[in-house]
Amino acid sequence: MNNQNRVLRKLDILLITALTFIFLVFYLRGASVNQSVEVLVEGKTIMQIKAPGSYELRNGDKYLMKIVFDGYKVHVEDSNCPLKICEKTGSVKSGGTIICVPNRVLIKFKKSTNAGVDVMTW
Amino acid sequence: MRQKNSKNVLKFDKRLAFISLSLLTILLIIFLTSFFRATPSYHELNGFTLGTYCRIVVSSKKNSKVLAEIIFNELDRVYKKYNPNDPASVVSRINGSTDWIDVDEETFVLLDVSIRFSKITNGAFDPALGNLIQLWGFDKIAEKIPNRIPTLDEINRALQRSGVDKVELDHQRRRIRLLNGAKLDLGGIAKGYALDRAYQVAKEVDKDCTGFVEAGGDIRILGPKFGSRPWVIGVRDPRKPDTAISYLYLTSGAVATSGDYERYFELNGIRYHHILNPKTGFPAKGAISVTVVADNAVTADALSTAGFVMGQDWEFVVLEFPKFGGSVLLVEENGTIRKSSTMVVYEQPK
Repeated sequence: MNNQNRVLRKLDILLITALTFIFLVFYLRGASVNQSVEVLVEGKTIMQIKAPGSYELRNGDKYLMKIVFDGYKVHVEDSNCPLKICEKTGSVKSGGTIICVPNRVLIKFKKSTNAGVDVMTW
Repeated sequence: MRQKNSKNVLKFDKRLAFISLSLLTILLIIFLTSFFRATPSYHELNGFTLGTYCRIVVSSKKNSKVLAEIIFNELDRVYKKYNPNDPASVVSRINGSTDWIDVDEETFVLLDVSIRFSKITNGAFDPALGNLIQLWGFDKIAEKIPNRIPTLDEINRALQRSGVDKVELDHQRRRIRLLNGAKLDLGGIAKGYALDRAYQVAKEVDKDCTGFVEAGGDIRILGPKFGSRPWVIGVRDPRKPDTAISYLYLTSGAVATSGDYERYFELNGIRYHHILNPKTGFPAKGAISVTVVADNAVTADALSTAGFVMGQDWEFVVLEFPKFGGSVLLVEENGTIRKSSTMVVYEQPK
């Protein structure tokens, strides 16, 4: 009788916990993306893309290309090179690379060793 | 009994439905609030100036992309103005004269600040080492460093034509004169100055803008991440480029690092790097990396250079530099890390 009059029973608490857990799993799934893209020009890393977005790649005053990263895949949206091979490559995911020969650009995925770091001082 | 049971079931169902609906409503509100919350989106611009790779990450209510370009142009303007290898630069004009040279206010203030840093660091920071830097071959950024150690005689002759004591400033007439063929090289402070200028122009355009500007590992914070959170800055391990030896959490200010791994050559197993000791004429010894956090990038840049030069006297660096406005993290040649007590403030996530 006492049990029945309680606002919350054990079963209710269990149900609330389960629902909350399911919600959090789906809600936080988007934040668990841990992909990192490395952009190299002439063999030197000049850009680390960690967050989804559109990034302009420049070499001094010279615009090279626009790189788009969605958190899982990366592709070149626009490039100043005449061959456009990098654009034609399309989207690549972890393990794939995009190469632009005229601009000597290599775009590849990298397993981040400094997850959560925005920038390095060196 | 049956009726009672069915009533109980019905009662349970109503309560269950109420609890579930309430809970789902609360969770839905949380989800929608966070989904539609006006978090700033950052525009990133990467390019080469200041003789290095620059990264601008900025968010502005006005136009982040345009603001990033304004910042980049300002960095480039400062670089062109003070690049000793550019014949059109102010520094080249000063270096090419043995007489008094009238300079603009910006240049005069930068030179005055340089000399002040030289004084407070007992000459460890020196803006007039052009001849010495040239002798070692560390002046040309785009060219291969010559694999040659200058002779003692060459170094002594270069030292005679180097040093802040050969720089004269005329505050009355805003002019400068270099004595004994000395040459300026503002490499130890110009990057910091450019970053502070980047901050100033960014705030002129949008005082509420946030983000950071990085130039070759020196960083100037424009404002907190998403308006309230600190930017996480990894301090590079001087011997393992992919790893960090510490993490700094900054919502404002600047950080700069001087290391022996940026420009160097090795001969007979000895590393000869680009940060020269103004007293000996040889690459500075004692530290392999010095990171300084300060309110502005000029202070961080100048003190990181001076701290590196004074590496053998690390106690002075970590204890005294906070009085000049810089918190220090110094890595000795044996890998031992020395820190100012004030550094702990920046190593705590806020």
